[in-house]
Parts: sequence; C-alpha cells; structure tokens
Amino acid sequence: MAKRNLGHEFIKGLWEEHPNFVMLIGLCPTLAVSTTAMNGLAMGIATTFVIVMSNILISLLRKVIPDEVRLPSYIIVVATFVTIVDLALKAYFPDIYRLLGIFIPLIVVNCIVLGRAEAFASRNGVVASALDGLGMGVGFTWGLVLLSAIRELLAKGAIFGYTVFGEGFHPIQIFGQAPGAFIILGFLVALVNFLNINAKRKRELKKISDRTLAA
Amino acid sequence: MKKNSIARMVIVLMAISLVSGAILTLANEKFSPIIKARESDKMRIVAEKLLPEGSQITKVTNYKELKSLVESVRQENGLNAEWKWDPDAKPLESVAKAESKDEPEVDIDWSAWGLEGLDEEEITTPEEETVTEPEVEEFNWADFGIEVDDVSVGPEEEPDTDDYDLEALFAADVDVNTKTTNDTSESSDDYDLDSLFATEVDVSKPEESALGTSDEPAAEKTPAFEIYQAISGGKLVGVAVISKAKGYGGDIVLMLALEGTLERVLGIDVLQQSETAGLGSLITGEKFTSQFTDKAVGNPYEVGKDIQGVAGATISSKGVASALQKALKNLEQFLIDGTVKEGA
Repeated sequence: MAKRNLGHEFIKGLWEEHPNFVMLIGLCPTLAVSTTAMNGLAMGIATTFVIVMSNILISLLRKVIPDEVRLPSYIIVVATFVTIVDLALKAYFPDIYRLLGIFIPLIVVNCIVLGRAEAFASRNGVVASALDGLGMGVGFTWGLVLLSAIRELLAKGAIFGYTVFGEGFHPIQIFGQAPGAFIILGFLVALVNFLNINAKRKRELKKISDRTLAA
Repeated sequence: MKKNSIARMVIVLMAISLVSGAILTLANEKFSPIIKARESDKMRIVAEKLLPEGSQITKVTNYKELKSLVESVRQENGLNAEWKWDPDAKPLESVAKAESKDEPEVDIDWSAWGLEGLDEEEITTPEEETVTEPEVEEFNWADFGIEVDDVSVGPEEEPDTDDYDLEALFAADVDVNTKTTNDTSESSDDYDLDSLFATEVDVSKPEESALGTSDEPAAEKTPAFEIYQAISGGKLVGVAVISKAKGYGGDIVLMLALEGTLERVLGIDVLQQSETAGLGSLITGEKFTSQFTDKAVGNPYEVGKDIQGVAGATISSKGVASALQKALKNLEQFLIDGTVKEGA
C-alpha cells in the first residue's frame, strides 16, 4: 500500500497533475524561457533540483517551523537553493546562464516550488516529498522541452540547435516571441485536455458496458 | 504561552536564515573565483577571435605604451607617425591582407568602391541625426536625474540657458513618474542618457523584461570603453576597441578590431544588443558584420554612405555606426592623452 502510494507521488506530476498543462502553474518561466529546446531543458533541470531539495528540507523541518512563519521560512529555503543553482550555472555554464538570465533567480517565486512546499512537503514525509518534487520537476521539464522544441522548430527550423529543415525553410518569427509561446501553450493544453477527457469517457463507457454485460 | 510562540518563531526564522547564510557563503567562496576568471576572459576571447592569431593579447592601461607601439609600426610602414581618424577621407578600397602589410600605399581600385557606395545609398537613406548625436557636448544633466529625449535640442545649439531650466524641471518631473511605474519593465526610450551624457563609469544595462527576447544575452555589465592590444614578435599587430552606443531596444556594445597601423579594420563583433529579434538582431549576423572586414579605417561610418544597414532596422544599424564612430574618436583621443573624449 505504502509503496504504491510512493510510486503514485512520482507519477502524478508527469501527467495527472502536470504543472504546466493541467494545473497551469509556473507559466512565467515556461513561456519566457522556452525559446530553444536547450534553454527549456536547462531551466527544467535547474527547477527540478530546486523543487527536490527544497521539498526534502521543508519536509524535514515541517515540525520545527511554526505555522505562522512558514511562508518566510519556505522562501528562505527555496532562495538558498536557487542562489546555489544561480552561482553554479554562472560558474560552470556561463552560456546557459547568459541565455536564461533573470529567470534563474526568478525560480524563487515559481509557483510550482512554493506550491509543492505548501501543499505537499509541509504535510508529508521526506521520501514522499522528494518523490513528489522529482515527479513535478520531471513533468515540468518534459513540458518545457516539448513546448520549446516546437517553438524552436517553427522559429528557427532546428531542435537542440541541429537544423532540421533545409535551406528553403523560412522561419516563423512569431513563434520565437511571446505570442508564439502563448499560442503553442494553448494548443498543448487543449491537446492534453482532449486526451484526458477522451480517456475519461472511454473509462466510463467501459464501466457501463461492463455493468450491462454483467447484468 | 503567546510569548513563548513568538520567541519560537523568531528563533526558528533566525536559525534558518543563519544556516542558509552559512551555506551561501560556502557556495560563494567556491564559485566566485571561477566566475571572476570567466568574466575577465570573456572580452579576451572575443578579442582573440578578431585579432591576428598567435599574438599576445593584453588589455591596454597605459596609453603611452600603446602610442609608442602604434608609432613604431606606422613608421615602419612609411606612414605618418601620428594617427588620426579622418571621417572625410576618400573611401579606400578594401585592402588585401598580404598587400597592406608590406606596402601600405596600395594602388586603389576605385571602381569597386564606387559601385558599392551607390548600392548602399539606394537601399538606405542617411539621416543627419545619428551623425550629430555623438557630438553633443557633455552636459551633466545626469546629476539631476534628468532624462532628455532624442528630439530635444542639444545644449550647444540653443545657448539660452533660462529656457532650459524650465524644461529640465518639467522633464525631471515626468521622468520620476514614469520611472516609478515602469520600474520593472524598462521601455527602450529610457536609455537616451547613456549615449548622450556619457560618464566614465559604465552604466549597467537594465535587465530585459520582455518574454520573447529571452534568447538574447541577458543584461551584463560590459565595459563602455576598453582597448586591447595584440603583440606578436615585439610588434603591434592589432588593436581592439570596445564601444557602446544606443540602439533601438537598448545599448549596443561592440568590439572593433584594427590592424597595428590602425589603417585597416580587421573585423567587428557585436558583444551585446537587445534589438528586435529577427530584424535589429541581424546586426550580429555575418552578413552585416562582414562588410567591415578588411575595409580601410578612414571612412565616415554612416549608414547609407559606407555602411549598408540591415533592412528594416535603421535605428539598430545607426547604433552600430555611432558606436564605431565613438570607438574611433575615443581611440584617437586616447592616443593623444589617455583620456576618453566621448566618454560612454
């Protein structure tokens, strides 16, 4: 029972409670950073690290931190990890740091990080919180990579910097900019909703047919 | 009971802050030397790309040293020891690398240049504004926190100072208002000061806020004026000048690399820009920057005259032009007395 629950904590972030496409949180970095697939991947990994670490620490401290000052405490914890990521990226991956720019420090106020701390880590054990953070992080990463890969493909004709289309390709500039991000995100959210609704309908139909067959 | 809980809150918060502070100190100690090393290398890496291979590149701090190096190279090549950038010089033909080194007075193939010049004039129409802009005298409006719009007349053109006070006050008022409301999202019009009233301190560029432009380099402090020299075999083989000017969406910082004699352009590279993606950002493209490679230095550097602008991005192209003009003026002044005339 416990094991299945732990597995579920990880899995739910990947689809069922996907931060971008189902819960629609953390959209500021999602829209801003997803210009190239590489950017999306880097941002996703950075955010994943922060979510996992802050979830672990907050879960450990959940009994120590008084309820009244929990938000400032969370912010300090999250900001610490974000600053570490910020410095590490600046030191070892200056190119990525230059591209992501202000959006690395802005992970501090990312709804996903604080949301998971508040909604999950402050109420659950360390292992469950770590898995929850990892699931959310991975979900956020794949969402970001998908979105940014589509945008890069349309705006630059490349994925991860490798040219896909030949010389004749004419880039569609708008997808490299903010409106394009909204358009693609809208389509992706619609797609995810469509799949979810379809799956739900099928499940219900199956249930009904099972019942009638049994009768 | 209540006292107790407040004490606990304070203690917990303080403990968390202390621990996080300690962790960050450690992290900073570990990372900051690497970051510093990288930042000082950044300019050098660009300079290495533009300047001749195999030369030793150092940042110039002493103008006399550079001056004597330049003079010796120029005399060796039979040129006037004192270098001056002459904007009115008749455009010289692109000089081939090998030729220029051995015999500086090359036979000029005028026809190629003439044709090119015509082409450029057809495509872009030159306007006077950008040319006059860098010539505005330094006037310390900055001290009063006053921003002056591009349209407003430079102080030298209208010497009547009484009028100005009013305008200045008015401008100051307006600007304070807009500043507070637009704190986080700078509009491109806010930057006029940078180019008009240059101070020696480099003005840090505000962060980009627009969502879509995040694939441009983020704002970083880039020096407004710096010179690098390349020495090979005891001789000066190249000089790289960093210069900054206002573009359409912010500052344009570029590096101009010259040959040791300062008579030929080795190339330019745009180090920082935040122009419109897909239009103004084309100034970083090979197609635009390569038109400077191997050109003679004695050119006016005006869009439409000797620079072919990027289509649809006149202001960005003019920004590059004025950065180039500034670079050469600054270099000229630097070689005379080690100061920077145009500032910025």
